[in-house]
Amino acid sequence: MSAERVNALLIVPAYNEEASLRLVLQELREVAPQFDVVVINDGSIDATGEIARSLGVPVLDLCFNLGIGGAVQTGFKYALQQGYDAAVQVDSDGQFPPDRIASLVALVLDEDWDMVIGSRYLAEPGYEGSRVRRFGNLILSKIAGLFSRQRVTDATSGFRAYSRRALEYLADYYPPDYPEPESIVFLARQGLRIREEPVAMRARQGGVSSIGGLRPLSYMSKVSLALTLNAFKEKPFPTAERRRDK
Amino acid sequence: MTMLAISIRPITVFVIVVAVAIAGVVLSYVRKWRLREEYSILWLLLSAAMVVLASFSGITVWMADRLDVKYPPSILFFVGLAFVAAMLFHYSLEISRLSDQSRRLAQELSLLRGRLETQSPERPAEGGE
Repeated sequence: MSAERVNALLIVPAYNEEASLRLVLQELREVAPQFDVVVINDGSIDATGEIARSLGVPVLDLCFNLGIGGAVQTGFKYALQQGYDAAVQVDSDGQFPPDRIASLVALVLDEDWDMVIGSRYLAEPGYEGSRVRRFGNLILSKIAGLFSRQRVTDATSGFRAYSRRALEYLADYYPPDYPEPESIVFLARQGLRIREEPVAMRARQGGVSSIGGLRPLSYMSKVSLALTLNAFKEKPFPTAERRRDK
Repeated sequence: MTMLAISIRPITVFVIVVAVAIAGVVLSYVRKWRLREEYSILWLLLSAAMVVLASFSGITVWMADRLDVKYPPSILFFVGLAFVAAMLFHYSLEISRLSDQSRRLAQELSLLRGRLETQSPERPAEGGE
């Protein structure tokens, strides 16, 4: 490998993504060869795991489907165990531009940010997508921004880089169902540094979105409720205390 | 004094039989190790409450009077519903705890399996041992 290795892990959660996974992994190897990759196979019933293994990528198989939150959190735990300084969540639908991974990670490693979110709505030209979805994201971003006391434009983006400090917290506390907006608030409440970075997303390369049709609306109401309830929750235990049962 | 007067009517006998049957079923499952004691207690309390309320109908009438309820048996419905709601809430708590635990187990298992895989990348020879 020509590029110098960077001690950051790319976490690729995959649930029945055989249609797009090979392309995504090959592109990562080409465009971001300085990073290690792990695929979290979230109880897929298709060839997702085999495809990743055939490309020589380490795979963690979950014995049943945990949903995106549980899968990504597995990657956080793995990153901590393996001693990485940063991790990037890279969804396996190929919508994120992999050539931007390095810049997100650089912000974490060199500028000490704890969470860098690739925002579709800061990018030029702005992100298209159904109006329902844009509206849902706007509302969630406003709520997440309110509770985290900072400007948030893309609370639902699944393209994010985390520092080790953020990973240590999220390995213990990460919402299992719709984790993206909530995790922003979690980390902000821990006093960690969060910023967004404009990232132009591409069209899906295969598979089906987990959020389509009118689902954005039910997604939005559930997450809004969760975000609001979070404000009333007791402050979670410090990470060190939870470590005992590890 | 009227509150604790025993009135034996057919319905009283019927309710007591049902309550005893419930207690019997609950205890038999405890004996077979299929129901944990902590859960059996709630159900045994229910059957005890049924016996008490059925035997001393004065209690229900007294409560209805104090709460200004026109139709005393509706007190029974209220108590029953409250019990069911409490039971369901208890189950929601248990389900939350269990799903959290099973998620952590699945994650732990996948991490351990991943570690095994990297330690022994070669498959053992077929039919070797």
